[in-house]
Amino acid sequence: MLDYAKLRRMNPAEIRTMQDRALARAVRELVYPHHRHYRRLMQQAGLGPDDLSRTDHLARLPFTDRAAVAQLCRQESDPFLFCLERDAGGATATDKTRPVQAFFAGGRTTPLTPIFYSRHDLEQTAAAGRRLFQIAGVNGERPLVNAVPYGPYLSFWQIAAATLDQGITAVQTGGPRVMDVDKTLTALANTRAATLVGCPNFLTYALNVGARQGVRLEKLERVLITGEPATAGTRRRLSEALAAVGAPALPEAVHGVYLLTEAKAGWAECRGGHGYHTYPDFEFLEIVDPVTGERRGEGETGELVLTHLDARATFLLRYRTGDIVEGGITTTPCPGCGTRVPRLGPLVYPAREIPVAGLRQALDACEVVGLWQLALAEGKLTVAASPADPGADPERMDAELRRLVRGTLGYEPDRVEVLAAAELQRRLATDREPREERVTFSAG
Amino acid sequence: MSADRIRNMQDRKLRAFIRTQIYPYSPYYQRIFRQHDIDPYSIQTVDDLAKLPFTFKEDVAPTDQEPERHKDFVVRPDETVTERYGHLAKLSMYAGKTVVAERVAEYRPVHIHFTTGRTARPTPFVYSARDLGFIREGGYRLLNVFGLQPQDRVVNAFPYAPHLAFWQTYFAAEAQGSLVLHSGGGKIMGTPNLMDAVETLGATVLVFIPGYAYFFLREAVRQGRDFRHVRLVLFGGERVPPGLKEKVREALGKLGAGHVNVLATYACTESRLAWAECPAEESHGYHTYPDLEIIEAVDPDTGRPVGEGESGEIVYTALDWRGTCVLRYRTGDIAAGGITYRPCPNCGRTVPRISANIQRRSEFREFALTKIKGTLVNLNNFFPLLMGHPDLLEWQVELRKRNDDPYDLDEIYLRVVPRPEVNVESLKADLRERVLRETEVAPTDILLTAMPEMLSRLGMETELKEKRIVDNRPRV
Repeated sequence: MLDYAKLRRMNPAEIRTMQDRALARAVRELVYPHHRHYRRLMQQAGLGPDDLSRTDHLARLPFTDRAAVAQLCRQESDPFLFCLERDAGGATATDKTRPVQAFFAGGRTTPLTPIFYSRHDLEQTAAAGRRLFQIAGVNGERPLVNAVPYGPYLSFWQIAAATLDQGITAVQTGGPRVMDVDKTLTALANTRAATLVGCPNFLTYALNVGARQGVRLEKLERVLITGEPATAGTRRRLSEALAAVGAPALPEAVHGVYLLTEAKAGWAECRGGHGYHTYPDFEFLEIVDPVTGERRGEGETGELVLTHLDARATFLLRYRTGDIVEGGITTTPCPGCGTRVPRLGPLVYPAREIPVAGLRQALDACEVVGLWQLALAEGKLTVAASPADPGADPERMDAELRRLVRGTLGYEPDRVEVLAAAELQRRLATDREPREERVTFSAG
Repeated sequence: MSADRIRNMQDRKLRAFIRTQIYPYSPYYQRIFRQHDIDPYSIQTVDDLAKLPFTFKEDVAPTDQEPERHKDFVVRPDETVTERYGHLAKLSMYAGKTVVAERVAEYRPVHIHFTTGRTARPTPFVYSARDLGFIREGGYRLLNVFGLQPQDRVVNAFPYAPHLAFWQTYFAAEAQGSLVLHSGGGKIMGTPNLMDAVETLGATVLVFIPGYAYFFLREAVRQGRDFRHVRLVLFGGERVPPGLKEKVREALGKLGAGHVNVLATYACTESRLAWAECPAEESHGYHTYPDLEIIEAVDPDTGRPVGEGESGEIVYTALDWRGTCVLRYRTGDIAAGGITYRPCPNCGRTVPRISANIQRRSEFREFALTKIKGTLVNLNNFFPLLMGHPDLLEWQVELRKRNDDPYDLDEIYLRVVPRPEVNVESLKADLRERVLRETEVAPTDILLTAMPEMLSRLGMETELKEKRIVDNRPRV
């Protein structure tokens, strides 16, 4: 593991060279001899252990995706199919490379996919936590409230691992299903937390409830948001909610954090909109065309593809994450902090939202819209929204929504519903569900 | 270690703990020492603890008047002490960064658990980084007593909450090194996904809250799942009646498992770690950690210590911890058979053992000694009676008032889901007789309830713990 201070000063060519070396070593020493699935895949493609010696060579290998991992593990009745074989069992308790913690990826639209972390990986996750907090400027001397919904996913555990590793006073609430809005607000007030982490829509909702109850959170300095696309509108709404409870957190104190269980490390923004700062010694990232699979150029939007460089237990090569990164990968120095590591984004959303890409940002940014929800069913689009001003004329709101959709997607929505905020809030279940269903899909 | 050596070690550690940590750094106990005119240097042995008054939950839990009362139990150098003995900044100048880091690791709260808040407001119990070492060590010992191997594959099905049960399992697994899925329970993952996980991982060890476990396993049997690898079921969070262990073994047999040990833990948030029983057909009690705590059993009425093996209330004293420390804490849990200091006849460990026959306050303390029909009834007695009943699948006790009138008579309704093959009339007669014998009141009626309705009433997959006893009596 490299010193991050050194890593963030390396230029793109040095980073690429380092990644080439790391990939060559990983394939030669770990993947080819010990990874049953990728060895078979490489043999089928006529590749030997030295044939993936540069990151550009990865294109010789077919993609893997979440559904394939789940299906192959099931087909072969081996949950450890994507683990390095020597790590899969029979080792001693002190071995740092065998699986010790099981996570699951997917669940909403794809089958649950087991992802295993070794102690080596968990140490990397903790190291990523140190980097992530450094990038986002988290004050390690002051308490933190982790309101990320609990699940066997990286999203909760990255923050928990970071606080435990760095000795930061933390309340791990488990999100709205475990500790409701009132308890979350109590935790924030009682600990005088400086940092709050969670899903932006829940945090906005909770802070607005707190403002109505007269809660004051003057000590809150920084908010890390994850789990939902961090659009400019989402940040604005959250900043307004922070101001309403007396938190001095400015819009630039709201940082997006991208947490992907398969990556085993979370990435953060140094300032909103500057992109997620990655760790090129842990992983190699590509952006590809979601339809053709061709690699995209710098700054071009596409699907994120992950290749581990230094993982143990589950090891993935050319893994299609199913996430679209708007703005792709940038390797120019970050305008916020000067770091030269590859940056993602600034916006990430699930590939299934491609048909309504742009509409999320437009609705979030629209000041006359309060809450909103999109439903795609059998190819038909329904837009439901509540006006930001409860006294707004529903007909004008209807027309505004139609105009917004037409302007963004180029066609009229099939249905528009203008609802009272309370009714839409109930539908979104922000106060009790781990994540809001802002965009819903049904077969058709 | 022999009992004598253990006691000597505890005397030594207690002396140092009181003098160097509790008296100077715990605001609550400093007050207690001063109010009762106790010289901290007079606490020489474990027996001298009797000079200290007991601490009760009410002393620690926050109230509207004192919302931060719990903070007085946190061991931390305050401003005065810091001034006298050296500020961190001063320390760093002459002792170096390492010393400062050690001091921070020793005292700064890092991790927080809350009590469930059934009987008082949720009370935070904080751990410093040093304390996390203790909970890891306790967890390692816990799994060692259970006989877990690094090759085991564990599914932690405790519902996620910032509570001891979930996190003790996490830290134990971290220290021990088995492969673990910390699922967050059915409430987080959903019961079908959790079953998939048990099958996919080929889990050998399942960690559960008892009530949910029985529902989960029955559902797995109904779906024809394959749990053949399971060899150990570990329970926490509630008392485990012997009848339930048998029912769980039977269900696992139908799922393809061979001989399965069903074992329990005992803990309370205040103890900050959990104790285990060793694998045996008959329980030999919970094996404690005498270097990390002192356990007494006292007469619940007089507070006087009872003799070895005599029934009494468990009283807990922290030893050498930091963070939130309680001394002589009355758990309210009554151990029939008290504490034993003889070597365990099953595993040979010489640590003090708490009898496994514990009536836990944490189950339904709010319903302990509830007045029903003019009689004081301990509704906790329903728990072992109904949970372990061989002919019942699920149950719930509902308290009502006749005609829903707060001034009318109390009514007890017992809702049950019997096994399908059971003769309902015989079951009702049996339940009436047993309930009358155990609680001294007869149920107003025994209502057969459909399983889906019962699961919904219990909040089986939505609540942290099932709602076994519901008080629907209107308040005046």
